[in-house]
Amino acid sequence: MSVPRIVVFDDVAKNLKDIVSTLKEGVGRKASIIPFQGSSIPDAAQSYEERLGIDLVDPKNAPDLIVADRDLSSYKDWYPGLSESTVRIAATRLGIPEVGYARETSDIEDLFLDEGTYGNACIRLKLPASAHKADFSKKILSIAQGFSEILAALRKLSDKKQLTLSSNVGAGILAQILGKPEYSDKMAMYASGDKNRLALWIKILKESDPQIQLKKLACFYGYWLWDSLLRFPGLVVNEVAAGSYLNISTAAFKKADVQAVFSKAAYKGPFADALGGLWWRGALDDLIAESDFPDGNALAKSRLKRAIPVSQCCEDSKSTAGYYCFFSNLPVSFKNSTTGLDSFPRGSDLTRISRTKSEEVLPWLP
Amino acid sequence: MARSVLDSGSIPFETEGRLLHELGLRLVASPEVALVELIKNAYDADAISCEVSLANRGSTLIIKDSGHGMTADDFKSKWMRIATATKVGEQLSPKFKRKLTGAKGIGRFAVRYLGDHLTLESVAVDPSRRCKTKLKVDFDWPKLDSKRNIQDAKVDYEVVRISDDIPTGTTLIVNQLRTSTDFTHESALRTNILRIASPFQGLDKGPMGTQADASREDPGFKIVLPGNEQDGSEQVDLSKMVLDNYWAKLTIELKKNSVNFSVHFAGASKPKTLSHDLKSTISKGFFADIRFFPRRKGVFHGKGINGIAAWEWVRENCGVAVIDHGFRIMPYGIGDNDWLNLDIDNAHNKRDWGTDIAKEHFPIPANIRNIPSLTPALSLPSNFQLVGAVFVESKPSSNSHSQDLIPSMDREGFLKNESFAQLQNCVRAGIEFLANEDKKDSNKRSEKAAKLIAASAREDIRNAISYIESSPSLTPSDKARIVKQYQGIAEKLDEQETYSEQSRRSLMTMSMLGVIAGFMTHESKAALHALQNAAEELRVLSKKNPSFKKVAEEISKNLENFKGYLNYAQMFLKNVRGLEERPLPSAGQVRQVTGRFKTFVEERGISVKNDIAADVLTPPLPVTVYSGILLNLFTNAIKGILAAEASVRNPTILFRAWNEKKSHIVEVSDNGIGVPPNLRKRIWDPLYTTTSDENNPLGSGMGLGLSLVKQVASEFNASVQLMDKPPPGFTTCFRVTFSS
Repeated sequence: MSVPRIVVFDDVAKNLKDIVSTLKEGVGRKASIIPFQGSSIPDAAQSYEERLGIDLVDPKNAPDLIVADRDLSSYKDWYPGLSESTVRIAATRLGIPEVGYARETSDIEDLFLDEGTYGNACIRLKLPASAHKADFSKKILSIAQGFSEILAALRKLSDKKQLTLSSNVGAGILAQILGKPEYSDKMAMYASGDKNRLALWIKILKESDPQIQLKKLACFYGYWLWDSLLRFPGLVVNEVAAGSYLNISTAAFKKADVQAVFSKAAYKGPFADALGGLWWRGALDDLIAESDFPDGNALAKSRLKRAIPVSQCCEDSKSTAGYYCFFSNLPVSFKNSTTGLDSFPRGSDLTRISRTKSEEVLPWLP
Repeated sequence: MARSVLDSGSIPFETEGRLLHELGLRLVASPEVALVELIKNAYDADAISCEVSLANRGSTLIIKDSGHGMTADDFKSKWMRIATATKVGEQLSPKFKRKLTGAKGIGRFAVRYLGDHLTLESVAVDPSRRCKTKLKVDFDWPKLDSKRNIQDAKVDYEVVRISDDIPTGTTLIVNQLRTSTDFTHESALRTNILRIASPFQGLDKGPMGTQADASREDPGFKIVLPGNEQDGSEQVDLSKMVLDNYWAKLTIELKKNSVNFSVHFAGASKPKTLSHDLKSTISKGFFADIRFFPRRKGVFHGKGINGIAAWEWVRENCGVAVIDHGFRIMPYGIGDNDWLNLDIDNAHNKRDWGTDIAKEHFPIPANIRNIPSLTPALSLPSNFQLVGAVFVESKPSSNSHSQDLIPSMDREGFLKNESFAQLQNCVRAGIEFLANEDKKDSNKRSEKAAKLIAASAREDIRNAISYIESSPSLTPSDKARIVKQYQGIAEKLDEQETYSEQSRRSLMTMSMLGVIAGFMTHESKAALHALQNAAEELRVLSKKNPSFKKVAEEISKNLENFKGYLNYAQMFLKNVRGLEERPLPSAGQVRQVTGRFKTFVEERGISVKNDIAADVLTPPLPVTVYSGILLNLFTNAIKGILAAEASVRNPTILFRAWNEKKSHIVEVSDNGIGVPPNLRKRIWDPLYTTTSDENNPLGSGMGLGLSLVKQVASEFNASVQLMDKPPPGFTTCFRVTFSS
């Protein structure tokens, strides 16, 4: 697989220099970091989207991933007053994935946007303070590699004539890309009732250029994975949700030897490095079932020959957790939580909202 | 030189006969006032009617009443005694217990204004003679005027016994009329007399309309004027119909030490009310009924009333009259009189209220004053839009120090004393309350009208789409294209409608954020990011040089606090645009607000208690409104504690909330410096602040907080009070009551 090309947009020269240098340092030789280069002679008759469409396919840019500041209002050079949404439109037309970064955002935005996508057309990331820029670089690299992996897998399926697009969202294709065809139905639930995703899918079906269509498909599955399947515990669980599900305290589950007990269930697909520890929930079930222990705690205790603290509900320490509070990122029991919001995907059956957080946060959400 | 007394003693005032001339000719300024003074005397004499007529081809004016008449003794002791205090002692008429209108004992001299010769005839029951008598007296006024000493100004009279079947009453026959003989025919004069003597029958007189002694039924008082062929019932009917079809009705009642305002909009189920405490100097209080007739579409439409005639009637009767004991007091509300300064303030486009009552109860924040379309003061009704009256019962000036309402000697208004100022202030405040409520009401009506227009537009679009779809002359692709365009228009219409409503309310709620909103720019976030980078550098440096460690930690902690406030502000601003109303868990929203200041209050040893049960829900509200109010009251409480500095033991802020009947109540109490009694009213004033910048990390604020809290709360059917009795152990308690 070739090294991904990452093209960076920032409207402030110093910031552009900083971020390019940070990324270069962070990704090393695993990716090429390129500041965006526009055409030297702009054609005033064309719109910014049209011109960007031409500039982006120019070999001096030709990105596999665009990384753009979400505020480009001070942009000068070739596109005075450029906006990130213009970049996003041009990128979407070409099937180029994008990461939009901002410096700081509110708590609510953290929950819904920074870790998610914007209109399934851009991954939102928070630009951390300088000390954590290595993490940022790692995430960007993982995202670039993730989209490349998906595109490669799609090309492979296409070459083998196994890529059949139908009117349903194609959870089966994603299951194949991830190497988990058995979870196809469960994945389909994550798209159930998601009209926006369905609308995007229909647009992709209508794409006439097969190469662009493949790239758009890669974006579609990448954003879906990032924004839904990997974010809302159900099919895949994060570290806190996994501990809660296995009845192991969050602190105990962070320990390497405990995680090693469940290593077979680790998620290693696209974006795994960007999102930290993730586990296939079904694989965790398999491990427990095979061991004949009642839960993950008993399994770990048996393997490690020591007591493992159980997972406690964040609302009531006497209750066992089992579920995950999306807003507090803490284990929670079924009793002390609610199902939450319509925007939670249907398949995310371990994702809930603690009672306290629901009282505080829900009124602020649309 | 030695002091030597040359003379001593006491000297009485002496009066020349000219005094009668002065009283008669200078006391009143117009024939209608002179006639009304005589009519009032007839009313006070328990007359059922008072008839004004002309005889001798218009050269004689006769004023005849059916009252109790005068005996010779009455005439001597009352009529012939100038400025008699008879009516000062008596407040009710002997027979029907009418509240007496006269008090000064000089009104009868107004007859002098009308003509140079008077014959008075009065039939009365004379108890001392045990029979009915007829008194006849002749007054030759120029002759009387010429007497050097008033004691020498004598009139000739005779008393005769008459048959018991002759009815009692007094007749004044005026000859040698001073003004044009046909003045009584002038319709303006008749109108003016009727306007003074029997004003606004259709208005509610409140307690002033009740008879003093209900056991004596008063058959009423009728005035008959020359040319009075029509009985005026048509006019009365129109007056009643117009008055009943008001746009809004304002009533004001001053009773003891409280003035109550009520505004009822036509069609509304219940009135808007306001109560204000004051120290009243008007002993009998007053009652006002003022109807508001703005020139708006549909005021008289479809109500079975001739709109042109109705508006004509409003134009002729507009203004706020003052009615004392049932008779109108000139010149209030007549002509261009502007005793409430309504027209002058309208002409000057005044953007703030003119009374302290309005400024206290429904202040206009400085930011709103700058937006003409939102400033209710600019919607103050003018005299031309109001028809109404203030009913009073003035007191005779028996006491020279009295500050009560006192009619002036010339029958033109009241003395300008403290009570009159209070009357003006309260009535003006009522009209300002009306303006404020009308502004709110018209905003709601505009919203409703806009929705109707939008609905109608959508209907038009639907019809157009149906027409296009059924058109045989268009190709399917053309149809699809045109229909799509129409659908696009419909969507835009929806967006515009939603946006307009949101932006109006957003503006109001935006103000809640106060100072913090100023930071909400891209630059502040960029600055925060740069600071975080610097703090991180410092942290790295502190590993090499431990002396930096403490500073690095301090900076990081402060940055986290700052980030917290910034986050809240941003969250608030984002949500201001989406003012969806829904029930909110009170305890959760209190935690949401107090959590932002957790470190701040902990560092200062302030304990924050949230004693709200998890199941307490608010009525449906936008979260920004509830949170904004809590935030303002919470920061006020913190400031109150910090202002008290070291004197507070166990500084505590307590949140309580509960639902009772149909209200949600939330209280924020603190044991800080408290609000001194003299400042309790002023805390609601915009730009008034009780805290200073000094030693107060939260700063003094702009003083807009409580004023805005009150204003925003009122927008959402809520009231805010500073409680007289905070919970035990607390010095200040603000209570917000939201009605369901």
